[in-house]
Amino acid sequence: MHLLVLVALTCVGVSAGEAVFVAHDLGRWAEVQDCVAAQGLPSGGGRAAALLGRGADYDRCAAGFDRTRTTARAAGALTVPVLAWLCVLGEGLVTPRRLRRRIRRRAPAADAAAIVTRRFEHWCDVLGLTGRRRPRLVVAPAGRDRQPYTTGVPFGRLTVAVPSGYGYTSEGERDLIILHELAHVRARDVSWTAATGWAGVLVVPVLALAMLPVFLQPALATGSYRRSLLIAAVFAAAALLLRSAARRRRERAADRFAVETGGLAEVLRTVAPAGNPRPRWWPGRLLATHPSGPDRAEAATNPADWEGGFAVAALLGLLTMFGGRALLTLLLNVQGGVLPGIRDEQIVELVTAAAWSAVATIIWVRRTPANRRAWWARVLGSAAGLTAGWLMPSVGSLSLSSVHSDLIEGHEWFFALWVAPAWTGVAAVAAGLAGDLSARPSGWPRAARTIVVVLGLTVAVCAVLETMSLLTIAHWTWADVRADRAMLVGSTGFPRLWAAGALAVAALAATRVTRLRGTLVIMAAALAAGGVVATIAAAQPTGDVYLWLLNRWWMCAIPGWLATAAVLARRGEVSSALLAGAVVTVLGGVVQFARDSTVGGTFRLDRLVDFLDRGGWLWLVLILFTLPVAVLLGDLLARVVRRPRRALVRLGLLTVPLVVAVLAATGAVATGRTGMITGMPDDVKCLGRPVYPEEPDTEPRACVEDPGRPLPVDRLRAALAEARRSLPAGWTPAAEVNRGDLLSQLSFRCPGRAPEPAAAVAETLTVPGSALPPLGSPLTLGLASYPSTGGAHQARLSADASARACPEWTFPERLAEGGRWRIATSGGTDLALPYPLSFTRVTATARIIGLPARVVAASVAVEIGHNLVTVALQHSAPPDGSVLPQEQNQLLDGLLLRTVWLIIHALQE
Amino acid sequence: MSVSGPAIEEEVDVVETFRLSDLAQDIVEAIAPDEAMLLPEVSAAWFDGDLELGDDSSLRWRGGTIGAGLTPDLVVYIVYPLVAGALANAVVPAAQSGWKRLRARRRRHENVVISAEDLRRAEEIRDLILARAAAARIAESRARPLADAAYAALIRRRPPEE
Repeated sequence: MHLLVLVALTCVGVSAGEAVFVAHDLGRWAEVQDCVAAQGLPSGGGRAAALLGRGADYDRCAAGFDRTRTTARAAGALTVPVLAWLCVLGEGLVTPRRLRRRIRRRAPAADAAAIVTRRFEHWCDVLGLTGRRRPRLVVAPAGRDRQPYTTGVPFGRLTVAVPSGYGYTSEGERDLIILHELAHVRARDVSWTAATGWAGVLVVPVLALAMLPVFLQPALATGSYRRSLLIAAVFAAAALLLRSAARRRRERAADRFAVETGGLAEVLRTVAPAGNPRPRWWPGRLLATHPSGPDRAEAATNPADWEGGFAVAALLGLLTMFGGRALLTLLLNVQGGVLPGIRDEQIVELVTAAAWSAVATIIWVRRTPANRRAWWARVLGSAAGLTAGWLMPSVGSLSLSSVHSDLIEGHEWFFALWVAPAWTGVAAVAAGLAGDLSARPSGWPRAARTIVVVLGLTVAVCAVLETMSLLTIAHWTWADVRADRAMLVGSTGFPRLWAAGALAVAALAATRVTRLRGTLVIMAAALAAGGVVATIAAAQPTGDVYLWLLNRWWMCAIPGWLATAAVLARRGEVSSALLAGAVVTVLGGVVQFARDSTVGGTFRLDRLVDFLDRGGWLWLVLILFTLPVAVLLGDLLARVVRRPRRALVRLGLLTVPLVVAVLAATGAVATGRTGMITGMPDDVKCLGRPVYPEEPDTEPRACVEDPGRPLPVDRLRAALAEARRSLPAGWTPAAEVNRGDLLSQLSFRCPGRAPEPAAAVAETLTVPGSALPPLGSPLTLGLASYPSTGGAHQARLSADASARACPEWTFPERLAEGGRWRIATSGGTDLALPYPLSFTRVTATARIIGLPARVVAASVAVEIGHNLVTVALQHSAPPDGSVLPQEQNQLLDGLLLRTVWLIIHALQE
Repeated sequence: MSVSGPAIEEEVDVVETFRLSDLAQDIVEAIAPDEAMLLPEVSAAWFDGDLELGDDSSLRWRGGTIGAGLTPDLVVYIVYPLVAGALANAVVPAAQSGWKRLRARRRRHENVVISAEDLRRAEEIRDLILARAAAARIAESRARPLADAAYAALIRRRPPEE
């Protein structure tokens, strides 16, 4: 908790550093602008200059700007926590001196001081506080010091001040406050809690500093600074809330210690209500540094988890995800990557997953939830924090921070609908495993099991993070659910390959295997038999082989999922349920493999790996999205079970959902409805393999008319319409603005091309990327007719000139790492046509949120007498690397060739 | 009602010896005799301007000290703020605006002479003590004995009706 406060305070410091940078113009912005103006560069920033091919000039003008900005942020991040520490140090030195001065002015009553001192020494002896650990006691005179407190220099000898009034109270009350303060001494709260206490004082002026530029230059509030300010405000609020929560938590711990050590529950219940009254308004309750008197009295009789755990879990999730994003920003500044062969994004995913899994598991194992409400508070808090942390931009950085928010812009509901439930599932799995672990006695065996659970959860969370990144970029690229489905199951990397297995090992570490044996055997036998029957019934595929294979992976996953649900309903232990499900899934895979080896007649070990790996992944996906629902049903069931007369209702609640689940799962597999989640037959074609137009006749036809004749506009349109009719069904042209049109950027970027002659008539048709397989690939058909044959010839050469002028260049794009795409242009081709042609291929590569992105565009211009036929196509490869560059080029070339032939045939008729 | 000025000077002869500290002592001896030994220390703190109602706000925003959040449940700590405020018919410091409260914090208090007029307003002063306690969020169970004791002390000292 204190660490979280420190992180939040550091983040506020970063924003304060940014504020100082902007307010005092440390980056010499005016000089940068002067330089830009002197060089004749556009004032719209580096992007506009880069478009004119003068990005390097702009970078020279802005040299040092980013470095100074980073330094200012780092200084802010360091200064604010150091300042908090210095404040603690100063107060630790000043407060005891002030106290002694007050005593010299007005000494407390001697008898009261003697009574208090006697009890204080007694409890110090009982608790074994000796040497420097034994605090000094100062009995404060009546007046300013009305409540007892502990003060001092952190890690030094502390001073406990007790008002003289406690010499006249009951001994129980006296003991209560002495033990309370000694609890703070034993826990070294002054060293940590005091620092967080000063966070509350510092955060207000730091936030004011962060807002300074807005007061000085209100126009900044509408620019990019608004985001930094918003982040500063959020973290300032988080620092305040966390600081208060941390202090309340320590006060409760001290109360608990005093009550347990002195047997003073009754005294606390009597004394506490006279203490701090409950704040009248709710923000006051959140910001209070002490629990209210009534709350403390209540806690004396009910020492449960008072805060439920929602806030802590939410903040943990938020800060972990946010910290991961900040780490990625840092790593991406390292040229060539941190570790060879491993993407920076993967490192960050691993670190983020490990941090969250370790902290959440350790906290939850040590603190057993008091009731089911507290358990759900943890789960929902984690889901809220992780979702918010995943969606929110990183602090400070203007180029990378908004990548996620830009990618999901316009699709917020789509992401909210699956990200939040996925994180809820992750949190439910973690809370369930931790809960089962906490039931074991503490000691090194439990510690070892905790480590295994943390490692297992890390791999699973890492897999979830990677899938989220893949889905995000895929949905941004294609905005189509077919692409999302392909990303969900189409490829497996390290985390996904091992996720289900790692989670099974974690479940094994958290559960008691001996008590599980009977259930496991029954479930495995029944469900594996079901799998065999289903597989044999499916027989050999008559349709799409890939869909048939997907269905068989489902046949491994669904029995595992049902086993999980059944064991959860029977035993209520998440770890046992996960272990049962994993074992049944593995058995399902083995049965499928056995079926191939015997009935199918093929013995392929790679198929076995696929059944285990992809079946396990599908099982994990099912678990994440349905476990919270299953646990909720279990909790409802448990409420009914309390009443013995409701045995029938209990049976119904247990049986009906299971039967419904079995029927739904069987039906989905039998009818192929599983494809709605993992893919329909055409999905892969839509992404990577094109549906070609009808094979054109490449032999010269008997010409009805000369294709090189000058065309009137109606004939030109008719030819294009004829060509379009030959395209596959559904390839309907429509007006669509294609983002990142590489070919038009090429003509803009390389203006040195020869001036094009004006065409007499010209027409283009565009088949939008949303309609055309491969998905996201707009196809443009163009036909222009020139008054002379020289016109068409000159126009074709002009296209060639662009490719030669710019063999390699970069294109500014803020979503790309480093802010640029790297682009290569080439002109050669193997396309065979009986007419002169020019071919241009543009390949753009970049990394977006750590994933490799590749877009290829190709265009061909064919000169036929007076006419110029142009066909252009752009294709984005899936970010998982499932389509190789060569395949991508081949499919583009094939499509271009066939489309060109369609237009030529239309011209001949 | 006022605790200083020309109007009081005329009545000093009648109740010359009965001051605020006397009233506080009467109250403490009546309802919390065990705390009487602490009264001189508390009186000194009150007249130095070091005592006020409400929780110990000096620790509220500080980080280097960790307060217990509990104060000793003693009558002596509340007798002066309640009774003096009631006599002055002033706004409760705890309910005042922050700025006024800040100014009032360091103000020294006088050991005022209780006028005959005040003695005749014993019932009103009892009600004012209760109202002031309620505003300071002091439980009525603690405030009522104190108010009753103040009422009784004022009645005892009341001059005979002419």
